[in-house]
Amino acid sequence: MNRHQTLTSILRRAGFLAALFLLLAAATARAADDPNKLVIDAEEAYRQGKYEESARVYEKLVELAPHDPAVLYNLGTAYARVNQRGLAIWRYLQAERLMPRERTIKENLRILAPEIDQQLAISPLPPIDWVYNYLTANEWGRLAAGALVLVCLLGALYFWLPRENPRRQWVMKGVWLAGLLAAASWPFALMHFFRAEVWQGVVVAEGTVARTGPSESQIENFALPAGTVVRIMESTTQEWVKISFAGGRVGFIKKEQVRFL
Amino acid sequence: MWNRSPHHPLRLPLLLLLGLGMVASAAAQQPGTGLTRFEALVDKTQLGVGEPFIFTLVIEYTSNQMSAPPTDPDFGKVRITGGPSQSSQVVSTNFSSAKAIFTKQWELMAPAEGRYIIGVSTLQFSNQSHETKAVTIQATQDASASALPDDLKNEPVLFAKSKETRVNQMLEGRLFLRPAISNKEPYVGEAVIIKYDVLNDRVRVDFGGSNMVLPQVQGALKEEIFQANSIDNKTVTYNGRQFALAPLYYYAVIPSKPGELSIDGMTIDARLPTSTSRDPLDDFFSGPMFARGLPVTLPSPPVILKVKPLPDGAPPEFSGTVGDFQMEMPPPATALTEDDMITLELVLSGKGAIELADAPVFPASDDFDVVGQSAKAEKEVTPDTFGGKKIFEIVLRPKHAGRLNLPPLKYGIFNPREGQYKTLETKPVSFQVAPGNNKGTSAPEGENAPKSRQMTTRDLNYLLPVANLRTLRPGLIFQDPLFWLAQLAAAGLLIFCWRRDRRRGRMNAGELRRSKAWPTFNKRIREIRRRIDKGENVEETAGALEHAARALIADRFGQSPEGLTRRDIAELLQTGSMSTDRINRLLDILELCSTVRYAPAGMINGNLTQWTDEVTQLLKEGVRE
Repeated sequence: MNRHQTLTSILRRAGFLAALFLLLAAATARAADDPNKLVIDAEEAYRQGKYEESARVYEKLVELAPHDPAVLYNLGTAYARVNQRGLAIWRYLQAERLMPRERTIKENLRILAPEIDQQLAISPLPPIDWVYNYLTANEWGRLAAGALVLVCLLGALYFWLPRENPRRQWVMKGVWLAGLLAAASWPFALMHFFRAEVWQGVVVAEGTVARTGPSESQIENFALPAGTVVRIMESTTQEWVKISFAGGRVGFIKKEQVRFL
Repeated sequence: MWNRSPHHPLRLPLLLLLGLGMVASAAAQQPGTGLTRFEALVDKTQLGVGEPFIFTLVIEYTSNQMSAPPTDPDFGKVRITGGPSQSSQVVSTNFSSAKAIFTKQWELMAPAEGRYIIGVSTLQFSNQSHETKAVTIQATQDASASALPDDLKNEPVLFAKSKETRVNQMLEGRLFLRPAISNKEPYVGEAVIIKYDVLNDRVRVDFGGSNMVLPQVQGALKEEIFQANSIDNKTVTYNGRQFALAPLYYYAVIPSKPGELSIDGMTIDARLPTSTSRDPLDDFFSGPMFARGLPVTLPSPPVILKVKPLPDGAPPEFSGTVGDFQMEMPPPATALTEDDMITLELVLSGKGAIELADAPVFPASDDFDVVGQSAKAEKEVTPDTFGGKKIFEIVLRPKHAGRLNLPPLKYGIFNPREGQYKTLETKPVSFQVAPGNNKGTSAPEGENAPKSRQMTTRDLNYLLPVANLRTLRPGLIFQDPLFWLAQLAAAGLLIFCWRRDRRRGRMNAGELRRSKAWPTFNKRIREIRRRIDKGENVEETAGALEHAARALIADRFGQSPEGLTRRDIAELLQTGSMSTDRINRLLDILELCSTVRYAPAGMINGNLTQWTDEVTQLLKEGVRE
């Protein structure tokens, strides 16, 4: 074998090894971030009672799937196990927004925060709250839009039919029914729509105290236990946010003490 | 005196004197460059702390113009409260000469006791530099105390000031703003009430439309208690002297850190009415808009508080609350189940900054978990008291059934009146807790799980299965254009159909019938062709063709189809410019259709399709769509 052939052979082998190395590295990296593996690891840690470890893994999962209600709920449960009440309530509320009818989430949330219904109430009548929270924002939107489209289609059919056609009266009854459904669903859909513009947050730090101004030197005003739901009015500085609490009380807390919903 | 002798002995000296006077006068008339005066003046050199005084630069000169204004002096630590204001005027000194007077004024104030030196001012005039002399001011705390009754001599008071020195002397001790401070050496967090009252000893003064400058507080919390909308006098007596006292402005200050806290005083402007005219119309013009009177200012010195730190030795349960408070807790219900929540209500009441009172800390307990807390303050603020009550609600959840004991809740405060820490305690409470029903699904504990976790997690449900991980964000449907497009399209369709229905409704029966004639005919022809294709009953199919043609002609011409004769049809079709041959051919086909029962079956089947086509064609010619 001459020199040229030897060099070619060496280069070929080196290239093969480099490609193999890259494949292995990619596979390892992929395995590390594999969501399914993370789910298994998190559940296994929880089963073994290693709740902090479980919470850490679920946090990684949340980065990959921030809108999965089951992941959020499980993370909240892991936090509850390690007495991180504020973080647990925050994650439960996020999960509940995505799966409002899931009984498991509601039960755990009410165990940790029995007063949460009062803090989140949108009306003084509990049945209205129940109906409002029964569907997600998108579900209400689809229902309202569907009802309105049905009203329009049935109405179009009504006007299309000849006036002497006896089927017209049945079509009109359908229009009325669809109209009632639209009238009932649009207010809830709009409430969700406008509420989406309002920033809500959960206090996660223990011993949080709202101050009269965005500075440590300002006077302490009122205490906010971890898990309290607040409305975030504005971000006054890089460190502080202005919040309002039940009863219209206003104060300033540090951004690190609250999490956005 | 003069005699008529031409050789009087005084004549020559007098002539010489007159000549000298004329020369001097002539010299004075010439436009010379004389600076006759450049001076710095103050209206007083001995004054009280915070008392305003006027500093004036005066320049008198006889040249046509001053080339440059004087430089401002260095005022040092003296505070400038107004100005500078400038004025120039020309004054005739005699028939032939004049002088210019330029003044520049500042209103100043000495902020604290001591000696102050106002530096020199420099003026360049006729290529020469001129300087004023430095001015020394001595400020003392009680410079104005001599005119006050003995009971008020130690109070920090400044008398009313105007621009008239004579009036100021008259007002000394008779018209002033008096700040009353409830405590000049408070503790940190202790509320101090500061009141400003106007005291007046028989001085006619008008406060209508007056301007008030309120004190600004920095480095402490301020809360207004009272601000007067009008002057309401009541009579008070100090050492036999009667004053009219009018409350003006009250507020509370809660210092947040120890040390010296200085708060600027407040001022209020007023007018001393002057009645110089005997014109009866003067009263009409003496209102605020046309007020004639001497403006006067009632100043007040800064308020200095020496804030003391809280003493050492705070108990462990000290909450940081300062005030003279008491605590009560109404007894809660003591018979409950594990599923019940207990709401404790602690009421803290008394004098002090009640809003700043921190929530009590519930101690770690084997029997209860704290699941919620809230607080609500109700202030009670009067000119003499600053306090109220604050209600803390603590929601507890029993950890287990049985007899559970709530230990006394301790709340440490600092009472500034007594100068010591106090611990407020509730009474212990015993609860009888029955087992609950609503346990939920218990979470299985791992082998390594610690035995005593917080009871809030005891009844937590287990994990949810994670399947089909949702990695995408579910967008808000309201932001999807399709959401709105679908509704708009449906609404558009509804409007279109509605308008069509309206148009249709506006047609009369005849028009309606005419408009439907061809669609109905076409529908019937399709049905006939279908029957022919399927080989259905020939007689019925032929009859249907004849009926369809008759119905079309009847609908288009507003006739009854059954009553149309051959002649009627011919006449109607002739109006459509159809030829006679074509009309006859149509009529023949229709007759054949009506007599089809008599025709041999084989012949009719093949002809029906042809007849259908022919009838359709002929009618299209004769009957316009």
